[in-house]
Amino acid sequence: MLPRSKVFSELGNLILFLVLEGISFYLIITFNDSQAKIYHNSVNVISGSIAGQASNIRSYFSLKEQNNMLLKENAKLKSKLFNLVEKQGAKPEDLQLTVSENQIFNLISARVVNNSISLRNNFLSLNKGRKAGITENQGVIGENGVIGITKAVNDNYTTVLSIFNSQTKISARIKDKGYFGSLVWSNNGDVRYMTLNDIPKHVPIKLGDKVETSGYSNLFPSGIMLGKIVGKKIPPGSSTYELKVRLYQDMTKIKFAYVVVNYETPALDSLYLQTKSL
Amino acid sequence: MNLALLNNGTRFVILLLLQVIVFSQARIGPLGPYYIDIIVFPLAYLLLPFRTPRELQFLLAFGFGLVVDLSMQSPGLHAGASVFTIAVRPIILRLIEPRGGYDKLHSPTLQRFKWPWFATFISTLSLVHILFYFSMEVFTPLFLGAILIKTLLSWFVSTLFIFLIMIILNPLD
Repeated sequence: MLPRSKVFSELGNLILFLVLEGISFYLIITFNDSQAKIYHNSVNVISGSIAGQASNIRSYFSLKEQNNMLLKENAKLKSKLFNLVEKQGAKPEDLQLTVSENQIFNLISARVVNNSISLRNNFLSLNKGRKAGITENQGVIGENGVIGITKAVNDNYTTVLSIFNSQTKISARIKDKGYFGSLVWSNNGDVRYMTLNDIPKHVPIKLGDKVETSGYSNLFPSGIMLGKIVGKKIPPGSSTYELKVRLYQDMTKIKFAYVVVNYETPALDSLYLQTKSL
Repeated sequence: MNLALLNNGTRFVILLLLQVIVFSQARIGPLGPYYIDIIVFPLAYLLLPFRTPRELQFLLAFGFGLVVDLSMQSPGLHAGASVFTIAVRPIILRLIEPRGGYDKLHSPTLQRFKWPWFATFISTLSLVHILFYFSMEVFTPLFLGAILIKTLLSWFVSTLFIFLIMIILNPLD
């Protein structure tokens, strides 16, 4: 006969066993590099595909709304194109630039399958990945502004660092004035506003001035409208403004996103590396 | 009680030193590097007396595994495998229970039980430990082949060395 436990019940032994195995598993995925990579990648795949299924089902309920949204965006783009044709005397087919020669940016459309806005560091997931041509460190834009920057990519899904993340900084400028600064999330719990820093205090700023991307970061094309200034203050002792920007993009209900592929990034990066090594 | 403590403590220290200083350095690789790991320290917790309370068995196995892990830079791998193996031990003991049953003051040693029983006991449980260890080391079912080859080769060599150690030390309890 084997001795029975006197301190714990049988259930207690089971719990002890599970706790110890849990600790071991935690140690394995925390302190061993290859296991940690495999673990995080699997979690990414599993949670991505679960979120993808759920989003598939949810998307049926908002088909009409999404259709309207896409129609509107389509109309906007068409009118832009026709204006361009009208102004510059080009035909629409002339505007089809080839990738190898002249095209700088390309957009990859994707559906947002997962989104958080309530945490300190927020992330989104997109239902396209490396197979569609997405890589790390590319800009992601929505209908009315910037959404974030791609962070981790696997074959079919992408994790995006949301603009509501303490690590995200967007290079932005004031439209028609040209002064640029960086747009960050002040993390005050209100997802309608962000803060524009680093604009020198001698610049005349009016409330209602529009803010757009500067194009300096090569993640985003220049001139994407981001929002308008609704509050300004100069912190004591500082030489720059702290501007409150009301976003055009409503991050709480984004369904679609476009990943910006910049064909000049490799060339710019290598140039940057050369400069750094000087 | 104190004698059992001394016995098992000494056994653990000897096995730890052997494991870390000798066997872990000698990673033999006829089929490429790192195919055979000689793992002998499970003997330390497998030989715990029958009367050891279950929860103490779990904690000791976890502790032994963790100490080996820390000296081999593989945090969690041996600890997890040891806890799993000590959980399986009563099942194996029940399956190979001799006619008279177990005397709960004894330990499952070679002197107490002789060869066929002891060989079955050690080889089964060291297989469990090594299989769990390599599953966690490779960490993906995609390389099931690698897990099985590593397990079988390492199990064969490790078990031989465990028998050798047992013959040389030959403790009663």
